Amino acid sequence: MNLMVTSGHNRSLHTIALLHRLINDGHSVSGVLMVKTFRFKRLKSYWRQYGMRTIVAKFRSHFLHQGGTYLERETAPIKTYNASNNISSTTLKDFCRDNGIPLIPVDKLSSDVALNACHAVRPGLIIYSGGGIVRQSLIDASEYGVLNAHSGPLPKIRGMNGIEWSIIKGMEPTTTVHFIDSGIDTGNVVFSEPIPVEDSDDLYDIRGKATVHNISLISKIVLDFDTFTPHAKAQKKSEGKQYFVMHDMMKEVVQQRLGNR
Amino acid sequence: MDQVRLTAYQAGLEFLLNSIRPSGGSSAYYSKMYKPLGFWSESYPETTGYLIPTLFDAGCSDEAIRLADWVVGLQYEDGGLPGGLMSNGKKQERSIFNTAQMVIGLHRAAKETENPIYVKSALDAGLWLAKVQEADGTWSKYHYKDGYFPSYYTRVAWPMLLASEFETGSSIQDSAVKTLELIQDKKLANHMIRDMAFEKSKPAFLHTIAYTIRGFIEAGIMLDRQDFWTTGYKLAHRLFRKYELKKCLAGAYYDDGKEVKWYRCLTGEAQMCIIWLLIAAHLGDERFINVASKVIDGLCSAQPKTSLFKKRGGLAGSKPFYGRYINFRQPNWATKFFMDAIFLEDRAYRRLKGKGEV
Repeated sequence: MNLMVTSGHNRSLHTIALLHRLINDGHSVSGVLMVKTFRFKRLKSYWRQYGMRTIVAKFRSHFLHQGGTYLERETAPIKTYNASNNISSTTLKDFCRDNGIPLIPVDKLSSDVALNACHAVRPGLIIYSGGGIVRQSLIDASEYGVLNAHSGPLPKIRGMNGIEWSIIKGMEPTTTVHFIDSGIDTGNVVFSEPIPVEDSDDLYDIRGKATVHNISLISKIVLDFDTFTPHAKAQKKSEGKQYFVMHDMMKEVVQQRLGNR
Repeated sequence: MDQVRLTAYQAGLEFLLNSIRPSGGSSAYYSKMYKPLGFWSESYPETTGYLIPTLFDAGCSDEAIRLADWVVGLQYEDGGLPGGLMSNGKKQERSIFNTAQMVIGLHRAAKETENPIYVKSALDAGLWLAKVQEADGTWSKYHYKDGYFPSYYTRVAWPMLLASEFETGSSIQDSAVKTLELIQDKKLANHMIRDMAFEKSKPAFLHTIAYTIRGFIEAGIMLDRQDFWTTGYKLAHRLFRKYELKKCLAGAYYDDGKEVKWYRCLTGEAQMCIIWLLIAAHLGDERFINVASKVIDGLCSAQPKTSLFKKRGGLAGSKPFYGRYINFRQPNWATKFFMDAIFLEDRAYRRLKGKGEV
């Protein structure tokens, strides 16, 4: 299938791994819509959403390559995945150049640049791999819509920190592949599967494993798209709740519950 | 309790204990601008009353009882309690709203000590509120603003329900319900409620919005009235979403939801945390603990850490300090609500960690 992929930033190891997998599966990737990272509005929104601690940790991990942060454990599974698949690129720019995929930097996913790029190739499907809010205009720019792997059991747990909230609510950490619609994680559910975790895993291990798990699920669905999508199930709004970024004190509860298993 | 929270809580407690005047009662506020000599204002019976539960929670029973005794001493023979600040040691005219706020403290003192003096005082105040109420559930006298019946009087109805616990079959409960039903009729399609402000047609401070919600939430639980609960919950949920999406709450809101956001109403933010934590405990919905923790973080940051310009430990009415709500002052009730929020948050996490559920 002819695909487009979105990305939140140039150093997204997850997007690189996803692109690698999709190409190996035999798909053609017509372009990557990469949302520009260093925009004041975006940084402000990150700061509001995640807090300074997370931003500093991400900065240290991504740009200073410093270890010792919780992000190191969270990114370990995707780094291992990339290494075991001989993926040497650490930036999307390099990966796209090496694989002849057009990299399209955009201010946001609903910008004219992004939409024009989609209209030019009319992809069968857009795979969401970060980049912020998806508007209807982007959804309409592909034949089948935008597919996303959400780290939480839909329809119950919508929104942010799906793994953490699943644990708080006593549910199994799950990846759900669904179509994006105009709501927050309210689109039709295609497939879901528990994230393979071990008893010794803490929250950051699970988050890391979820990143790799969602690549394999996207691959599975796209490879067998005609089989899976007719069974996509519509969600009722009342079946779930929207969750927001989890506070560190609540994350301590998550860690405690994982430790008590 | 987390170290940041513990430090904030202890600093808040120190501020409140400092606010207690030798003549009795707690100063309404600390302000170097409004009170250049001495910095502390006169005692404020209303908020002295509702400081009492906070002091009991903080383990300061002696001080709580001292304040309760002072409130009892202010009571008029008919049961009413005074409004305004003490003026040269003299109490002012009765006030509906302020009487109800003092009932909250008297009720807690009665529960804690089982002293019949507090029971009688709370009951007399409740009976007075019921007696002077009009047939339609409003009051025509003893208002903050004459001729205006604000919706935050749900926070009169709730203390009336507390008082009614001391006399089964009294008229107090019926009167409270009448008021709540009347105010409930003012709810709008956007879940806001008309007349939540101190003055008609003005934007309502987050403080009085939270008063209104709290009244409905508490009454809904006490009376098992789903309609009251839902009215309060929907507005609290609306503000929860607003905070989560925008990471801030406005200082005041118009009925149509339009925000006055050039300042924060810190007092109201602390009150909203209390409401969200009550909702979390009632519904088992941890999202409301989560949002409260985020807002409490912001309040901890706003709490003065030194006494250079403001008094250490005392939350200001607004941020910036010149914001519309209680500008240039650190009201005792802002700190009271802040401490209550930290206390309830701690309890919520203890429950989550202990039993695995809210």
